[in-house]
Amino acid sequence: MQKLVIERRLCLKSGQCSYLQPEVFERDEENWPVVAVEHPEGEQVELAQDAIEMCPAQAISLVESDEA
Amino acid sequence: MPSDFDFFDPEFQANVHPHFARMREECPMAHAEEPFDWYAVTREKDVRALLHDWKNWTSELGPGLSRTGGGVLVSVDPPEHTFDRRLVNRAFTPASLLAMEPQITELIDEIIDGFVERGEGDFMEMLAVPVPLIVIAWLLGLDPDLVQQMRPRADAVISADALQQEEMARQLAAQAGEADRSGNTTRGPAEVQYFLEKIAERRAMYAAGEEMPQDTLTALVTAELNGRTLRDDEIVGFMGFLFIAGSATTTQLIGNMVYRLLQNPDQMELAKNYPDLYDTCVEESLRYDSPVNGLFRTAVKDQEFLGVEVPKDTKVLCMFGSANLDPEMWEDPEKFDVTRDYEDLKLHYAFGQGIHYCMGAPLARVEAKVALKLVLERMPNLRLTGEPTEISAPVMHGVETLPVAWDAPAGN
Repeated sequence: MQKLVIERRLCLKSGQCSYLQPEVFERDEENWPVVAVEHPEGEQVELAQDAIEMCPAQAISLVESDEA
Repeated sequence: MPSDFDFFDPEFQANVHPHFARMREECPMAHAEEPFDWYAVTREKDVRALLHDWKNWTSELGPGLSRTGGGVLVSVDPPEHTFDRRLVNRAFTPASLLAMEPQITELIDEIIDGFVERGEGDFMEMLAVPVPLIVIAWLLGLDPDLVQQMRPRADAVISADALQQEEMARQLAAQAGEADRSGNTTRGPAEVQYFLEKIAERRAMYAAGEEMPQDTLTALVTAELNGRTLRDDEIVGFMGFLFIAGSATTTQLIGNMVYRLLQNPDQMELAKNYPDLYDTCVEESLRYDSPVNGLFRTAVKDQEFLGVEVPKDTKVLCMFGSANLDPEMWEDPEKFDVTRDYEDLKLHYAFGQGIHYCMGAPLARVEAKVALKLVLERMPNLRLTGEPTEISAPVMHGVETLPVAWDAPAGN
């Protein structure tokens, strides 16, 4: 299944993901983005894809994961 | 109540580091009363708080001290901002901007060819000014020569005071709107006429089904999101904004970076010997000398910040340049150090933070990095031959002129 990952070393705290797709991304108290839905399904995948496309740091990806 | 600082004093402009330090210590919510009441926040955590809280601290009255509404991107909040950003993102993806590196390398090489035999001159005029102007001309599908002629107009907008800017923005909007309604493109300033001609050309190409150049102008003309397309005056707004946002800022970055390296010979040696450090040279310059001192947000209602009652529609300047020097965030912030850890360094505020984070950041970074590489390779023994002068536009920070000499290649 797919896992949604934010690479913090690339992140620029633009906040695009959490404001565009709040169903899938949140922010912590230091304004770092946090994945809210680790394994997106159905429509959530599209929401995640949108954030991936809009991220100015190219810091978000969906990766194949063996985790259940 | 007297002002806590004088942002428009040339002395302040020339010495922002000590002024920022004093403001962070003594007046974190600094008050100014010229030409009307406004505030500035200078501590990193406060700058961050405002930039992320767009619901209470809006951009809808513009990013400057002037109260100019009705703009694009930097002058709107969601949902309008989301529309604009999605639209421009197609032409401005990080990947597509990074892909311009070979083209930018060729351009800078050519520009250096044009002056390298002279052995001396003003670095800004020779290189730092033309490079970003020509690149933005490419992106907007404009003639690079004409765009370079427009520079004085862009500079006038940036350096005008708040009241003048409000008037300029009103005039521009009125003229673009009028031209749009009447189809008469002969009114208004020369650059608005030129932009409108270019838009008309592209619309004709689009209507005829011709192949379109892959640039930002095409993206704007063909943009459609949820059935909405852009009017001519909106596209003129985008072009004017991208032209101003994309040229002078990167000029400052390139000039400031080279100046600090010249001023710190040990750091210059590191840059020369370790090309891996080019990226951190660029980021450290952005941190140490943010080309934009800061941008404004506006209170959406009467609200309190840092214990100060801020009336609705009051402007607050988020001082990027000061957040970048806050000892709460940075170790030894007053040291210009190109060996800082890149992961920490890239979180500086030179490009803002939050939803308005600069969309041109990847482009500015590539331009500065390529410029640094080629300057080090092709202008050996680069040295200062006099004191640089400071740019006079208050919102901008950095060198306006940078007199340098280098060892010119032997003549043939």
